[in-house]
Amino acid sequence: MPNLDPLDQQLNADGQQAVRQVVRELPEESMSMAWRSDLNERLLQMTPAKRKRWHLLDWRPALGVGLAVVAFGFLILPNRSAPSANGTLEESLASVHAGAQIEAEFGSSMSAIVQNATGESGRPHSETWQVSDLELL
Amino acid sequence: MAYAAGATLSAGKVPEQILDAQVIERCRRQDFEAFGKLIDAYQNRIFGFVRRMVPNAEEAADVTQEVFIRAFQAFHRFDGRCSVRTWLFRIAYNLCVDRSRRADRSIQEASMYVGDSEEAIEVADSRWQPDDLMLTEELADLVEKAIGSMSEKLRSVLLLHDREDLPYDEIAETLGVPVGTVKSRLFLARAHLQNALREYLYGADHA
Repeated sequence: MPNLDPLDQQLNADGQQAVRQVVRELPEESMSMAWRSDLNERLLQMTPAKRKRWHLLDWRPALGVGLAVVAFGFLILPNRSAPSANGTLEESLASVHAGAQIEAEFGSSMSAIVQNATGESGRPHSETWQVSDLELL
Repeated sequence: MAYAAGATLSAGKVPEQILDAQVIERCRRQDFEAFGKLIDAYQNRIFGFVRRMVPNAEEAADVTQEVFIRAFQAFHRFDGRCSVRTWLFRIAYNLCVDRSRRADRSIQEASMYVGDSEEAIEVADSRWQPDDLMLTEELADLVEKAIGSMSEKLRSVLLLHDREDLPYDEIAETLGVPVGTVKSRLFLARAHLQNALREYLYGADHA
C-alpha cells in the first residue's frame, strides 16, 4: 500500500468507502424532452446563425426583385438588339446595319402605300372631298 | 414545466460522452449543434448536482438551464486549462451559491464543525458492515435527506467526489479551496452520512 497521509488513510477506510458507494448508487434523473426543448429555444435565440437567417429574411423581397431585374436584363434585352456574344464586333455591326436597311425599305414601302391612300398632301380623302364630288356619285 | 423524465434507482453512471477538441472548438464559435452534444453529455449530471444543492427540483431545473446558457454565452472565454466538466460544475456551483445568497436563505449547518483546518473526527466503527447496504428506496430517501441536511460546503464536496467522480484537484479548482480542505470536508461529509445510516441500520441507541 502506498505511503498515504493520515487523512488519505481515513478516507480509504471501509466505512468511508461504503458511504461513497451508497452516494454513487443514488438514483439519477433524466431531463425531460420539454425541459430540453425549452433550453434549445433559449439557446437558439442567442445563436449567431439564427440572427443571420433572420437578417436574410428581412432582405428577401428586395433580393427577389433584384434577381428579376437582372434576369430581365440578361435574358430579354440581348434577343432584341444586343450583338451576338459569339460573333465579332464587325459581324454584329453588319447585322445591325442590315436590320436597319430592311426596316428602312419596309418603312418606305409602307409610306408609299399610305400616300396612295391619302393623296399627295398625306391627308385622309374625307378631308379633300368637295360637295360637287358627291353629285358625281 | 416537467423537468425530469424519470428516475432509476440503480441507474449507475451513464458513460461520459467523449467530447473531442473539434466539438469544443465548435462550441467556442457558438455552434448550436456541437453545444447540443455537450448538453447531452452533461445535462443529467449537472442536474443531479444542482438538485441536491438547491431546495426544490423545479428550481434545480431552472438553474441547470441557466448553467448551460451561461456556458454557451461564455464559451469563447473557456481557455481549456481545466476540463469542460470542471468548468461546467464550477458554473453550477457558483449559480447555486449565488441563488442561495440572493434568497437570503439561512444555511443549515451540520452539527459538526466545518472549518478549513485538517481536523478529523474519529468515526471508526467495527460494527460497520458495508454489505448490509442494499440501496432500497427507503435508504435512498434517507441518504438524500442526510445530504440535504449538510452544509453547502460539505455537500458540494461529497457530491462532486463521490457522485461525480471528480478528482481532488478538480474539486479544489471548482470550489476555489486547497486540496487538503477538499479532503477534510469529504471526510466530514461521509462521517455525517455514516451517522445517519447507522441510525437507520442499528437504531438510534447506537448512533
